[in-house]
Amino acid sequence: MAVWAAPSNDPVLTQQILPLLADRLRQALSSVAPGVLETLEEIRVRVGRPLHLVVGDGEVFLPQAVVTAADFRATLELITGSSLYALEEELRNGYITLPGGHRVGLAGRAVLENGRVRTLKHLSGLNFRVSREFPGAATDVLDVIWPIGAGSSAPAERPMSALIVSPPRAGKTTVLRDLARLLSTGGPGRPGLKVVIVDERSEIAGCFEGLPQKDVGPRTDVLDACPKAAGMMMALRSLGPEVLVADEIGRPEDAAAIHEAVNAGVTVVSSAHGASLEEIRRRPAIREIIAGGAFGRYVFLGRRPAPGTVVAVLDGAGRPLDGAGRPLDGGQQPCPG
Amino acid sequence: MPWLIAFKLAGGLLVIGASTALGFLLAANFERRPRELSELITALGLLEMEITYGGTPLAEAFAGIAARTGRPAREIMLEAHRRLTGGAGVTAMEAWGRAVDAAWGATSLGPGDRITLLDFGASLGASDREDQVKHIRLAVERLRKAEAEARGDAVRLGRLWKNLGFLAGVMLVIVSL
Repeated sequence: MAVWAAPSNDPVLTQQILPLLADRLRQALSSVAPGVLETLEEIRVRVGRPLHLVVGDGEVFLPQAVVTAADFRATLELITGSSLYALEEELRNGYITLPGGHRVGLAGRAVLENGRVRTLKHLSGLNFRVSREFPGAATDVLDVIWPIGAGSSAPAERPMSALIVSPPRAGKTTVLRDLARLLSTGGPGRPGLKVVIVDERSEIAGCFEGLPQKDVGPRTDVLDACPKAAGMMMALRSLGPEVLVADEIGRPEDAAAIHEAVNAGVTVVSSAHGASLEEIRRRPAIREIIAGGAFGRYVFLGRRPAPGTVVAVLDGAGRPLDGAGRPLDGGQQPCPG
Repeated sequence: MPWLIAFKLAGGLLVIGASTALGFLLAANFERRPRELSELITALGLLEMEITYGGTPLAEAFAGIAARTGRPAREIMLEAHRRLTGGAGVTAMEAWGRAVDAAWGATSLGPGDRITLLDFGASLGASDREDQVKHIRLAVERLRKAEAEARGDAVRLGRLWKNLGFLAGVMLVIVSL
């Protein structure tokens, strides 16, 4: 398992995030103990309230840095290149993707049009989600979905389709990204595969103006900001993927697209919010996918000891497996959660 | 003494010439202002187009507009572009304000025009399309009013200063005779 702490002079922070904060906030942040910044996950900027940091194992408020309207506006301008008007799609979706693949969630007043959110006005909250690469974060998951060598019989020709399940902030996106990289790169016993990432929220590859900002491997194409179902169909038709990666499935049309891909012989790796199979089964679209038997493995991640830790693995029928991929107690074990 | 008369005549002509030139210089100032205002109006019109139809980022829009307008709009746009892309964490309002200040010395614009431009800058960059367009239109409206006024001034005060310069010179010569 990779170490999930970045060095304190982490260029991701000093070059990509800090320059986008208003002067005063940046100074406040640089006065924080270096250990805190190493595991920084979120910076939350709310007008009239102190700067709020979410770090690896807790949170920190900076009472000396109460965000003023001017701080907020300056930060917003720095994020948007003073061109908020050019980001209508982003405002509609509620977030802005930064160079480096970081995401800023927006809070404000919604303006509706025909019952749908047209844009956000009077913004008052920003949530910087620091996106870091942890090469190797997905090695455990890779062994689960594509076992080779000791213990297993003849090595599989290609990985099994898998759904990665965890509560928020347990490393789903980081693991998916690293999995895409590992599958694309290949290694001993595992030839490199053509991977297509359908990156609806620009989080996996962190594309900025179409170019992946993260290392997603040499055989990887990215359909950036593309709706998952439509993107998977586009990829199947024209990009010839061996592996399709898409995060956060859950809409009805996703189920049909995943079945289509799996039946075309493509490995699908995706993720879903949730803590147990029972929990995600309550969502109709996911229930349909599970019932159709599209996934060969369900991998559950936890935050302890570090995000990305594999806490449980189920096979396609929902039976728990041990670390070597063998059924535990003949499948009597209850599902986690 | 004929040489003394000649000397006085030459001196008188020199005084009249100088004061006439001064009058023309002041008049030219009045004639430049409407031209400068009209350039600014054109520039803001282009900015509205860039924002409404192109969704062009502000810094890029400034550079594009600078290439299509004349003094002082070109100088302001170029300087604002330079400051926005300088990477020093400058907001649009600061960049615009400093650009206006930097270009100011070389213009014939009045203090009211400066306020219009700075007010406009305060709205730049931090709101959605509709709001930006609203502020651009407001600024253009104010500049148009100033332009109409400036055109009147250019005719009236321009002629006045030209005449006044000449007449003041003549008067000085007569008084000193």
